[in-house]
Amino acid sequence: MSPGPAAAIGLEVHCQLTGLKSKLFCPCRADYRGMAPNTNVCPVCVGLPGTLPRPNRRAVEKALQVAAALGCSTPPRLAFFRKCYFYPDLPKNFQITQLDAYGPSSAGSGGRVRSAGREVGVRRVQLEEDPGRLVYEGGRMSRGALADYNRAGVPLVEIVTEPDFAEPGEARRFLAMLAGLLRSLGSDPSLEGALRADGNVSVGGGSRVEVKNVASFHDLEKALRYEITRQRSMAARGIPVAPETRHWDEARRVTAPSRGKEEDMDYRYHPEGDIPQIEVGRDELAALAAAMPEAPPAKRERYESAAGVSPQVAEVLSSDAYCSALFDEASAGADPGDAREMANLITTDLMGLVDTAEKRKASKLTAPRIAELARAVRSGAVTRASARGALREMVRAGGGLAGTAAGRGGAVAGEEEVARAVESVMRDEPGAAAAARADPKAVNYIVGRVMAATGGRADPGTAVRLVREGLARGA
Amino acid sequence: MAAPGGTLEKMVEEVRSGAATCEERALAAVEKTRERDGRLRAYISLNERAVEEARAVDARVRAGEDLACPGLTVSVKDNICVAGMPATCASRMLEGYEPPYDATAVERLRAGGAVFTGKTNMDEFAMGLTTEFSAYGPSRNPWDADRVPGGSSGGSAVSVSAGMCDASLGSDTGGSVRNPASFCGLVGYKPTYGLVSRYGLISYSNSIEQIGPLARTVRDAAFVLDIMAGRDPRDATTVGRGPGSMLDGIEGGVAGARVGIIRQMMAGGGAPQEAAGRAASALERLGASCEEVSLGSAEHAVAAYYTITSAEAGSNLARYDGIRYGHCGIPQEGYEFHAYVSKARGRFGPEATRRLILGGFVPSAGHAGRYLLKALGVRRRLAAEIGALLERVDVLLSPTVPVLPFRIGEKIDDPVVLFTMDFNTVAANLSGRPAVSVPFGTSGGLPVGVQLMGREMGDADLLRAARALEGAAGPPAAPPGAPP
Amino acid sequence: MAGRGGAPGAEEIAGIARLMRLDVPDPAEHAEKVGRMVEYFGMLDEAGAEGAGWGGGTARLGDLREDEHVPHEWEGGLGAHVRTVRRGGGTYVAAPGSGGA
Repeated sequence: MSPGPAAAIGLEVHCQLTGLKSKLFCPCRADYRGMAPNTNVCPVCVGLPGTLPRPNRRAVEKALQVAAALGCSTPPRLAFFRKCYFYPDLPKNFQITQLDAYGPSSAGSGGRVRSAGREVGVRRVQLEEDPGRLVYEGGRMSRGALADYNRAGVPLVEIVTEPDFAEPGEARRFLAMLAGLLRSLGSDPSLEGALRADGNVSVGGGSRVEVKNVASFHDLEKALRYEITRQRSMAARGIPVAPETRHWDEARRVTAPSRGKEEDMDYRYHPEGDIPQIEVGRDELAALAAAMPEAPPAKRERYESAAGVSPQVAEVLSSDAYCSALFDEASAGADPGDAREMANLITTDLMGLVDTAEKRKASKLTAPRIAELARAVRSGAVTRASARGALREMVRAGGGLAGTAAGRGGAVAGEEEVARAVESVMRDEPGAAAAARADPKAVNYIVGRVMAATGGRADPGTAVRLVREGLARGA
Repeated sequence: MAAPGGTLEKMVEEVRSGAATCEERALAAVEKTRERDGRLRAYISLNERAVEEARAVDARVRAGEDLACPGLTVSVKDNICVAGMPATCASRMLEGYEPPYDATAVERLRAGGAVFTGKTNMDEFAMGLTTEFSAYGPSRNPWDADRVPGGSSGGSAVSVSAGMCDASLGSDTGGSVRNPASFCGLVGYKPTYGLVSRYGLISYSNSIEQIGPLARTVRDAAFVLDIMAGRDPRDATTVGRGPGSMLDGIEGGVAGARVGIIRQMMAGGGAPQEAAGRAASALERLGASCEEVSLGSAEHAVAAYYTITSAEAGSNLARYDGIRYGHCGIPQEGYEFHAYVSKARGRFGPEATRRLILGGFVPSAGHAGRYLLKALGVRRRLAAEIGALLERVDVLLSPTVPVLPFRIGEKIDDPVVLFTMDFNTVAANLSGRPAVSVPFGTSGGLPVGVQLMGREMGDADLLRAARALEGAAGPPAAPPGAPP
Repeated sequence: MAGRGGAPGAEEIAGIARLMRLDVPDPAEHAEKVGRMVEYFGMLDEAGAEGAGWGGGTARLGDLREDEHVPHEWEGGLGAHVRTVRRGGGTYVAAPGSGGA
């Protein structure tokens, strides 16, 4: 990332409530995937004249739970509004959504949640209907669009953050936390289009630029990076940044200004009279909170306070439903020190080994094995370095520590053995030793060679100390 | 007081007992329509299967089914969905559109054995109060065919007034049931907001409008309302109704009742105001006490009404873009989306177009603060004022329309003059209160209506007061050529 | 240019007509009547009633529709009620593209 004035990044995320049985305002399916076009539609969701929305209680409750998990406050009455614009994916040419302009009436607002090591403001959480999907015959600029309204009316929770992220990576980590939250509420954010994020970027307090049309979190990070670089280089040349909406062009890997008429920006918001204001009692909110599976922010809190897991590790662990479930099971009743070691093993080693849903499904690793391995590492029976190899074998073949190479031969190498390895590495690679004397960062290379020479059985701390001593002696 | 017993209750009893058949009643309606509708133009489309459907109801009666209203002939305003019949809203925009479902109100009447005669003329999308803003031309008042029948449910009023059916379903957004009822010498009822489901009513201003019956007597209106009313899971704004029938206490009279005469609605001193004064005296003779009351926000009600209805119409009518339904007749080839939609929406008539322009203006980012938000504030204040008045008195009285039926073409060109015609009726819509227009004599051969407004969910009480007023008015006058 | 008393002039009327997707060949024709209406609405300013909240009805959370899937059967098929086209084995609603003619 090019240096320059500080960036401020905000997110606007749309999450489908895929776990529900029906759409937000009619009894068609909430999960339309795999259905032939326009087979999941009824008079309400195609907007036939005279039809009226019938709000889904569960959808409202899920939105309230999302709001609560993000630290938002919920007003005593929820209201819906109409956002008006003409587009072929909108059967009524307006979208039913929420708005706080007449006083707070969205599912949530004013939230604060810890993510990516910082406090992130959550401006609002609101419930709205998804538009339909358009297929363009022969590309976007073609003469015809084909509308499929299977998706029209699917419950969507919109989450808007304050521009509190300084780095694109932080935004991505927030999304990972959100995905974990949705999963805990029964939705599957990994389904295509179930979790969609737009970003906004400003640098050095300049104009805000919206970045849209991003297909994946990975692309979002790239798009945000590009946009920060673009704005910084404009600032460096004294060119003002225009407040605008830009689309991510995946093929060219740049953001480009969106085409759009100024007048289209007037959404003519007004109250949706077809839906009464929904009264939400304090007791109902409390019951929803109590019924809520532990959300990532609460989990992170628990990991930090109960097990003393570091904030960084706790965040990574709590954002991932698979890993946090494994950790919860393995660490139940464990000594806090052992639990911390389990958390480290899971976040630093295991997550890299099982980084896809398929690999997780195929993994034969069980929670008691993780616990066993962590205890062995702490007692010094197995080194951190060889533990990774043991984990790989446990994932592949199942079984306990005894069945792995580290378990078999694998007591920690004694100090003498390590000292011998240090000597031989420094003798064999005099250039590396000289470099390490000139630049302390090059020490790591020699430590790595020593670890390899001991088959990973050396304690890294001991290895570093002995290498440093060796270098000092040889100087 | 006139003898109790509405004509529709008697008629239904005759059908139940086998003294009459639905088929006869449907045939009579068809015959009357053939005779009169060429001139009066109450209908946009007729139900060609009406007689056939009536025979099917006769079969249900013979099979011993206990039906609420067998053989009731009902016309339906063309903005209310009847499955398999067109619903044009009197607009070119919906030409050829046939809804696949019955509105809940229609469904309930159909289940009761009603026979639907046809779809009635109206101002386009219910925007108007003369039925002149129809793509199908104006309807004519049976009392004087050169005059307007009122609106926007003008065709509904004409169909009942001229004897082409027993009752009609209209919709009342700012007086659209009460105004034509008043102009055509009928009872027109606007229920408490939420009492009758709006499912299947094609929205114009959804936060204030209701389906309501037009009928010849208060009992008839109550009879139809009773069948339609009640909670509907398809309309989230519906409310539960009290136990018992709307007809149960309807003959209870007004002795001891307190009546408030709304001062702001008595200005002018014409025939309607005079009739309202006589109506108040008549109610006093029946044991009610009358006092003049002031409704300060009435002065701003019409402005608030048009602001809110325009904003809501702007979104409610946005779906008409020529893409999904209706015979738009414009091929898509060669058009960009927005250009195509603009072209298709060029089919709205001039009044609807003006209201939609207003609907783009008053809620827009630059103007909402000055118009829409202020209008919503007036609405809340008006509702609160009416609520306070209705703690002091039981019912509020005024003329229904400040003027008598005028000539076709006379007032169509001045929108602000037309605004003043709504002055007495919009308050009930903006505040959600029930209101009814009751015929109270004639003036120069033209009917005059008096309006009563009641408490929220106090529909049964309001109907009781209306029934007393109707009794005091003497036997109902009928227009030339109508049945007794 | 603005008209009298905050009422929109012909130019603004043309802009609103575009926003509302209405082909209005002669905006001036509507400007006169719309202008009179908006002028009349000006009295709302004097009413002194600010719109805090909007005064619709209320419902309890428990009154809302239960989350149940009920498939809809279109009598005669969707195409009998909504204008559809068959493309690539699927049924779609066709709309003009956004790319222009």
